[in-house]
Amino acid sequence: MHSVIPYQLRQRGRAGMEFLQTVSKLNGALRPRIAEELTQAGVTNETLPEDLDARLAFVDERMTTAPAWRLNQAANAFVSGAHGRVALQAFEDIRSEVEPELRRLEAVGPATLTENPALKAPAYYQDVWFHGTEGGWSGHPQQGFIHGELVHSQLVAKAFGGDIFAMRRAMLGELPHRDFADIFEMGTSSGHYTTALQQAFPNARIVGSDLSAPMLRQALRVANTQGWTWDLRQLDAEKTELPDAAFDLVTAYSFLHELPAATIPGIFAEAHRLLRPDGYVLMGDVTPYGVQDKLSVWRADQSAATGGEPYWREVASLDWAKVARDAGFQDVRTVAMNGAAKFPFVVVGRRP
Amino acid sequence: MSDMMANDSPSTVQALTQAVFVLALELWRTKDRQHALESVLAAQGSNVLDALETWRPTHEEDATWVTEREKFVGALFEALGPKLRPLVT
Repeated sequence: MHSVIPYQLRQRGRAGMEFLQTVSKLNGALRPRIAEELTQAGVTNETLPEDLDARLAFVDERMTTAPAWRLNQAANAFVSGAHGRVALQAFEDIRSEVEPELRRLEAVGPATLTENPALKAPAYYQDVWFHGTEGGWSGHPQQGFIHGELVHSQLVAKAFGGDIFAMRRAMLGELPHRDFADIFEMGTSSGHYTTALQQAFPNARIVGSDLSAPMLRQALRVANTQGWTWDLRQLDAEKTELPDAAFDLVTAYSFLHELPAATIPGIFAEAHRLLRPDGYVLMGDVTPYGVQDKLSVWRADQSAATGGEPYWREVASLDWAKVARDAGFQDVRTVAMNGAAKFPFVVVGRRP
Repeated sequence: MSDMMANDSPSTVQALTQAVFVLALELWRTKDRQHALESVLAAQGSNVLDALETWRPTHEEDATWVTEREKFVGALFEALGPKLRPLVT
């Protein structure tokens, strides 16, 4: 996925992002040593406690003097805490140059964005700096460009190494057919998964949604750059106020773990309401703790606890198939993708 | 040198604080030198600020510079965790 506009960071912005890339890369090189330290400290699937908090404390206690682990945690804390600020500074350095073009791209069409300034964001969303964003997903008028472009392309995609969008495309292969005409996406953000939907279903009407107008503005630019006719709405996925039975696919990628577990049944219920009979729900998200070994769960839980993921544990503790069935879906199926990684974890179900 | 990352004793915190001040001193010297360099070049009529902002390394220079950056960050990692050497080979 290419940037919506050509831009060139100033020297300080470029150097700052490159420094964070390098810290992340070298931090990753510590993993084999951390694995050795865990073994030496007696941290194994057999010794880890059942209780998740006790598990975190168990490892913390035994790894206090493990140098690779301590350094890894310090470097993680630095990158996690600094990346949003460094990206924001890099953007502010070029803001006067790029903002006119960003605004122009919002206006040229053919995509549309319906903002709702009166929308009251749920309490779980307000004042939460998800993923270390400075001020949260709505914390800056250009947060979509800052995080959807600068952070994602300069840090996340480079740290990932491969085709980070391949998983989004692969997930769509879990659908039972390709004849979808009306697609509703929850948690569109800056449009990465929406792009996969567009490419897989080029003739479908795609309605994307998010609580964050700044993120949706970046999705709007992505669509307009490509000539895609996305209909983007700023709304709450729990209560979209869209008509009943308006879609034949309701889907989201890496969205549900940014909501408290208590809201998830309501999300599936809303998906059910929006679907026509024989329509499908397809959700891809974090790997449930129930399908991982204790050590993998500890890694995910520990990383989430320190990485701006306040709802990860409670959402990863859900039984996705049960949630979908309880909402009225049938033929419910779950798939752990990408081999041992088991990510994304996909749930697909049919509205009868 | 003790392993700072594996020891939170007051003396280690003190040593780490000292290291931050030493680093800040060197950073200030570099900032001052950069400012002086830019001022000298500007006085000589060189539009160095614009050139600095838009400068990009060539492909070959970039490979070298990435290696330099990894050595720099690697040295930091190894200073914080001497038992982890060598981290960058």
